[in-house]
Amino acid sequence: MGREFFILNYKKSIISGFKKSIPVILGYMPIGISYGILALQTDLSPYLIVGMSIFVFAGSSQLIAVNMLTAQAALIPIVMTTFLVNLRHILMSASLSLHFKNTPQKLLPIIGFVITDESYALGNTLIKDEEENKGIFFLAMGLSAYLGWVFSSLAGVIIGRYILNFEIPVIGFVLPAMFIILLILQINEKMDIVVSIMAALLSIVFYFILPGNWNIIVATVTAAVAGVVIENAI
Amino acid sequence: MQSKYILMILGMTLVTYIPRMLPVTLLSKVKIPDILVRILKFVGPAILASLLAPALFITEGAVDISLSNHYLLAAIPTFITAYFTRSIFTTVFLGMLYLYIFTLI
Repeated sequence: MGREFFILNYKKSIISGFKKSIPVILGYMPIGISYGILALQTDLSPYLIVGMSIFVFAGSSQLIAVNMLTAQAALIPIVMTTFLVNLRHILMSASLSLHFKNTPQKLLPIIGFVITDESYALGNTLIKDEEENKGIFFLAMGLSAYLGWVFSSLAGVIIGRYILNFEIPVIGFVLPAMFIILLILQINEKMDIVVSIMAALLSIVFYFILPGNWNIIVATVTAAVAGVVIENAI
Repeated sequence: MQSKYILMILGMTLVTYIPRMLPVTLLSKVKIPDILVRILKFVGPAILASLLAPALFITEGAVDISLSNHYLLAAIPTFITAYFTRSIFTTVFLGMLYLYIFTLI
């Protein structure tokens, strides 16, 4: 049980993580490429487009930002919408934390960075099979997926800039389609459906009342709080 | 012009990183209050529904529930695909294909 044993084991977990990241990367590719192509239609420079992928690393948030920039939204609603969209990761991060009791504390802030919808969905099912070094396994999978994300968006920029000089109308549907699957994955009980319908209706009503994209934030908070109030009343 | 966007990216980086990093790093020490967990559980579906509804139902600034609204039409098989496959890749990929088919009809 010397040091070599641990290094050997780390190596196994790292390789396993890299291998398991392939489906995650395949999932990122159409989204990252679409992001790169769509982002070119805003004022963002190619460096900032790829920079956003390097720093933010969140497909839905980045597509939302690009979408809102195209609609001339102000920066504060964009950042606030990103924040609300990412709040769901609190629960994912909390549920993953159960697996990392034996993981070196120093690695946890880096592990946090690579938690995405895709890595969570896959990691949460695969991590149970990893006997040792669950944290190392997840980190290797996440970092490999992260590189996949950055290169997918870079590929999108290159394709959009040098290969396709015309718009592909169906790319506009990547974001709604992503909302649809993420919404389905978030529905666990009947109350989630009730809250979603309330939020959808409120969002449309407030769209015509509130300026900018504030309808999204107001509808989300109102529907989520209403959900808890209704639950308490039942 | 670009410096405004650098600020935006920095802001987005913070609000993306903090919700991912804090629970996994601190949860052994701090507990999230129960009421907050319950609201958060609903924020997940609520934000997605709030973002989705205008994208599907509003075209050019007006509510559009008609057969010429291709996004709305394509959303129906996309929802069914999402429900049965539970895969982000398959849903996004087939979603674009459904939209393409509806634009041809």
